[in-house]
Amino acid sequence: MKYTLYVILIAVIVSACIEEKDTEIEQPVIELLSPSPCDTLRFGESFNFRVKITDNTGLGNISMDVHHNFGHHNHGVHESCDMDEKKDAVNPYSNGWVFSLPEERKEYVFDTGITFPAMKDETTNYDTGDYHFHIYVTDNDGYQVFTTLDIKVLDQDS
Amino acid sequence: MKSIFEHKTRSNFYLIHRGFILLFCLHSFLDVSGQSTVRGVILDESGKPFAGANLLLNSSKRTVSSTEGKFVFNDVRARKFEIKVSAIGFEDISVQGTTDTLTQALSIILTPSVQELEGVTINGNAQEELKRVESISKLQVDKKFLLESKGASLMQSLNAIPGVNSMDIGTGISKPMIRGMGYYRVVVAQNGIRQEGQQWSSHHGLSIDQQAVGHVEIIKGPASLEFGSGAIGGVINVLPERVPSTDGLTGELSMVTKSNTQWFGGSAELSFRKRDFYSHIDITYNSFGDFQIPETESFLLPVPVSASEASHEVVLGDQVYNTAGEEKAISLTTGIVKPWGRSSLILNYYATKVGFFDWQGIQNDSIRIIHDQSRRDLQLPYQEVNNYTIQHITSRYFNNDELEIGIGYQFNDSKEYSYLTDRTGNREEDLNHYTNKGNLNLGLFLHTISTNVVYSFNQSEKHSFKFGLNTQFQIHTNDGYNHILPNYNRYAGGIFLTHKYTIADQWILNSGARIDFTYLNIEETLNPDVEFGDPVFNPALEETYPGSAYSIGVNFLPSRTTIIKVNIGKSFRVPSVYELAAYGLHRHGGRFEKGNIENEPEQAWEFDLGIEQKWSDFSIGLSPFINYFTNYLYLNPSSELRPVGQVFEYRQSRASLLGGEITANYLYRKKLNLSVNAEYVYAVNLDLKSALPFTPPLNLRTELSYLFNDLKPLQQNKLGIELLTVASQNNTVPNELSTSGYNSINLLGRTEILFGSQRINLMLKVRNLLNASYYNHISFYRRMWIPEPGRDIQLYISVPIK
Repeated sequence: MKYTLYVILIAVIVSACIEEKDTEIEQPVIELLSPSPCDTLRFGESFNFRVKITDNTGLGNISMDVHHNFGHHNHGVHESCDMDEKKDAVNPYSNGWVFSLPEERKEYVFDTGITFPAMKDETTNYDTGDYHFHIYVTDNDGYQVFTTLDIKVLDQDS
Repeated sequence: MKSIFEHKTRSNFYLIHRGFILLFCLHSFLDVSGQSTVRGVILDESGKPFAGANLLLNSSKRTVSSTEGKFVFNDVRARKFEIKVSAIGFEDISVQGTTDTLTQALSIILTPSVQELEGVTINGNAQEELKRVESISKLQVDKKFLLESKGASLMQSLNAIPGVNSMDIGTGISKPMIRGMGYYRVVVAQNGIRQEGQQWSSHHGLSIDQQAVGHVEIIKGPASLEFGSGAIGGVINVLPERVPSTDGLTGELSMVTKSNTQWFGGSAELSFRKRDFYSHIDITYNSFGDFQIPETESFLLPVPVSASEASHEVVLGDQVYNTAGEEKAISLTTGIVKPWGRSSLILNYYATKVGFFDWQGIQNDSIRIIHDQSRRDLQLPYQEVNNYTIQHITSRYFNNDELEIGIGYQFNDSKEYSYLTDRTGNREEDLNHYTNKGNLNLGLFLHTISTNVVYSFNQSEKHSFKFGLNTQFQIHTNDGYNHILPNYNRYAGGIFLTHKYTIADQWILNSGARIDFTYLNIEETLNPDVEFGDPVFNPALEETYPGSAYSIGVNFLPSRTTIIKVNIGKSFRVPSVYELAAYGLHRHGGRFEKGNIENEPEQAWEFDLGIEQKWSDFSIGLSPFINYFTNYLYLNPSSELRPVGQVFEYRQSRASLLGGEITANYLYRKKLNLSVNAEYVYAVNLDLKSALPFTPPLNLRTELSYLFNDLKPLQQNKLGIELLTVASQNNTVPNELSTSGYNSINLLGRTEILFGSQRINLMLKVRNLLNASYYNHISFYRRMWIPEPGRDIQLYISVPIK
């Protein structure tokens, strides 16, 4: 039974090396400021995209994309708005952006102007209706969270 | 099975060699012609004459048992004699005696080198012997074990062994995990020759037909010493079928059907033997449909590939679309068993075609309708693997010494077909080309040539040595619209020496050392689309990595019922090409994965303890371990986001894994068996003071089985119930979901029906009896919130042919 003692000894040494975790397992938090859920945006117009991000250790990247929601899907984490009838996508608009956030900041308001293209010719004659803004944020530990925003994108003239 | 001998034991048998060899006088062999002749018969465990066993008299004369199991040594000069008997699949036996007291023929009974099992508990005499002489945790399981614990694949069957886990990708694919280590940290070998496929990948299984597996040797803990780079977590060594014991043709037909996946499959085994020549053939075919789960409202999509398929929550239902598949395998073995040794040629072909859950497609109603029409159809995305193996293994005896040479060639052809998208419009030509190839997304082709040369020195009673040389040459090429792994060449070689020192009956010292080198030449990969992503996927790399492994262990055997052993070993692992130079999207994981050419070989130390105590009907075992890595390689999420998803990069860090297995077994009146097995791993990244990804949670397996009396014509009637209790896993890394615990109940019933002399084996199993909805932390689909398969009723029928 001598060996048992050795094992206990080694276990104690190892567990001494494994200090209690001082890195909190905390994911970044996204707070959407603008646009608001269910807002209506228009092709050919600009708007301010603003989110407040907080994290316990420091920030990483933000990415967002816009994609259609003509099939009424859900990302599980956002409120749904009044939606148009389901329809098939013909020429849906989709786009994505990636930005880096200040690494040292634990709280930051990200603010950028975004312009949706104008519907000038056939190739940019995008489908109007229900769209989603999908936002990913990472912190500098590599934690990733996402949130989604329901919006309507309509024609400039309508 | 052994009962015919038990009643003879009292009068005619006498036990020598501590109960392992039964040596008795058989009156039918009374024709001994003189003192200088030693003759007898070799019998297997069921009392049948065993042909082809190798016998060695006084380390000088050799012979092989005849078709009737008989052997004879003429002109034996020495008065004292010692006969050593060896046969594939059986324990080595040594019989001593003197010629002047020997008036009758000897009868030697072989013990299978795998234990007789009650239920699925690892327990038995031959097994005990292996445990006693080896300092590392090494065990063998046989066909009976594999049958009773049979899952959809070999790894799912081995899951019942404490410390061994199976990482599943639906029904068709599983990967091994030993003591919390998987992927490149577990070596899978066939007949001692390393099996090389796409071990890095979380959705590539083993290319092994479990139907053609004779028995399996499992090493838990560091085994780099004999198996080289990578065997840090352990080894699964698949061993061949036994040499048929009698001349003529024998075989078995078996069939299986399972309710959950509408599985049907069958296999035919045929063995032929004529004197010292033998041949085996196994043919297997399995086909299965989409697996069913308890009704589940929705699942979570992985991180999107493009804006239009962001992580939607999509309705799931009670089946996981497009997880059907099929499996085909043929293996052929031919060999000879001679007094000088033995030689065999093994040919294997294994093919699978397995679908992946079509999370992308079922967002569109039109594709969902197609999936709904059939449970057996296979649409995109799916995987197709064809694996070819040729092995030649020869053993040559030199008195007590043995030289074994194994040469193997393996070609692993693995293809993935998926939806292809051209993001920028720059790759139109490529897109057309690969769409015409059936939407070939990834093609990975790996050729491996291996040689193993091992010389065992057994001249001295106290000291035995093993000297070995292993080499491996690999060429990897790729194809497909998307990229993940570059082209490369890899050459590895190593030599080792091990020493077993039997200090006294109670003490054995095992030690060994190994040195290795690995040469790697990775081709540079350029981005075919200049407008999307980095211009260079991975730089070229030419590097030679050294490696070394050591091990020392002591076994203390105070009695036949007690084993105490301790082992300290150092293992190593050269980084895989994936960890050095991967670049690409891991679609099902929703991750963008990148290798790093700066990564260095992993060095790991392990301390291992084994304690076992047996009483007449009760036994317990305890095997704790501690692993320490100076530079554990793991996939770390970075803060970098790309339009295709978050970037994960291979990094190194100090790490430790500790835990162990506890087993307890109680057998009441040889009828009622209760066994409890527990396993636990605690994994910690010592630099980040966080967890390590994919660590299996604490789990407890309780089994109760009862062996009923034979009830003509029903024999070997057995009923069993298994309760699997799994704790939650909250010790996770960033972005890894924690998983709550669960209970699952399985049932087993089996019987043998006798129609005259024809036996029919029947086994009925029910898995997940209560149709409970739960998640397996290390399962592939868990990340999408897809639960484990629901209730599954399985029927196995096998008919031996004589």
